[in-house]
Amino acid sequence: MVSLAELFWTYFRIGLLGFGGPFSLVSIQQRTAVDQKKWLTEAEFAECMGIGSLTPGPISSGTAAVTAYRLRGFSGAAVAYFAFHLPAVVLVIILAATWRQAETFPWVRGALRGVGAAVVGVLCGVALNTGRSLIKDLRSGLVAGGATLALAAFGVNPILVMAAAALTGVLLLRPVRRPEPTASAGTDDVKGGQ
Amino acid sequence: MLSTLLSLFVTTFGIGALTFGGGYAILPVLQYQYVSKLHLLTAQEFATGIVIGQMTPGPLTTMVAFVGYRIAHVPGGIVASVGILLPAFLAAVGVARVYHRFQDVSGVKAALRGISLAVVGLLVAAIIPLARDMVTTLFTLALAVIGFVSTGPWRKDPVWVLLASGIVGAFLLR
Repeated sequence: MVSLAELFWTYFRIGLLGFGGPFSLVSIQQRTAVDQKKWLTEAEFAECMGIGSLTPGPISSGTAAVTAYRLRGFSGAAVAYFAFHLPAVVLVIILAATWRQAETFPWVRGALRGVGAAVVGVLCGVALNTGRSLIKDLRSGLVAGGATLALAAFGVNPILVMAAAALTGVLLLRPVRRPEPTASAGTDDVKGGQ
Repeated sequence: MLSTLLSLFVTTFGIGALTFGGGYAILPVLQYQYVSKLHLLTAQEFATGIVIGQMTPGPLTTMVAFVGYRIAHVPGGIVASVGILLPAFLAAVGVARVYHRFQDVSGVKAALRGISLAVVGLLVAAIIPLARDMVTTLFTLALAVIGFVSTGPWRKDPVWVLLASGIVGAFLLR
């Protein structure tokens, strides 16, 4: 069985070296847990990642919790989860504390204004790609459009909008049960299935 | 102080429980709550927080520690981080426990789909106030367009365009 100390140091290291967004954070975990430590098979890790992306919060965080849970139960998951986030939280707090002094230099202010403008563009790009991958038909377009309107034009509380979207999803976006292509069942099944 | 920390914890816990997909889903909600509604941070400060979140390792979500720090110093940073990360932990471990029974529930998948669609709206709503503060000249508009094209259609890692804009800004926007 994997020791708690080993879990701590493994996930601390991943959290410290994990630059470059969710994809790289998950692939570092995969390389470590599957290739290096041989704790899990490729397929088992994929299952952990699946659960990690189904649950709220960052995909990499969820994946770390589920993987460690599999390896060492609740205490393992708690230790790994703590260790994974520790470096980032400490670094963000240190930077938050020192940023105000740095901001008095004109070139730092200039750099921040430059980055701030680029952040606007980056968020537009993220919105575009997220929208393109999620909006598949009229119904999903209506949900996304409705949420945008409620938030951007009417200033509805985002948590309320998320809850409403979840409910709308249950009512409108259930996957249509398609008939098996080999069976003789035709379109009748689709009607009957709903 | 204690009531500030308590409300910080309750709000971040709620946000953490209802946002799927991490950083980009959480940012707009944090911005609405702490910039637009409570005015505890300016849009400029919030953008700085995003940049710090990008610069540091680990999930972007940990930029919440910056928001928490600005509201209640080091305890605020810790409380906000714990608040936002705790629901994800409980949910992941809980689902891992009952995974085999939960796998094929179509209602759960549909609810998650609805939520991820709302994230698109959240992003758009977050961009508007940020753009109003950040994009004020033709030059900053050009930086925003470059940021959009490189991450949107070209799908490049945003770290590079943000870094380059910072360097350009240090020389030309001071």
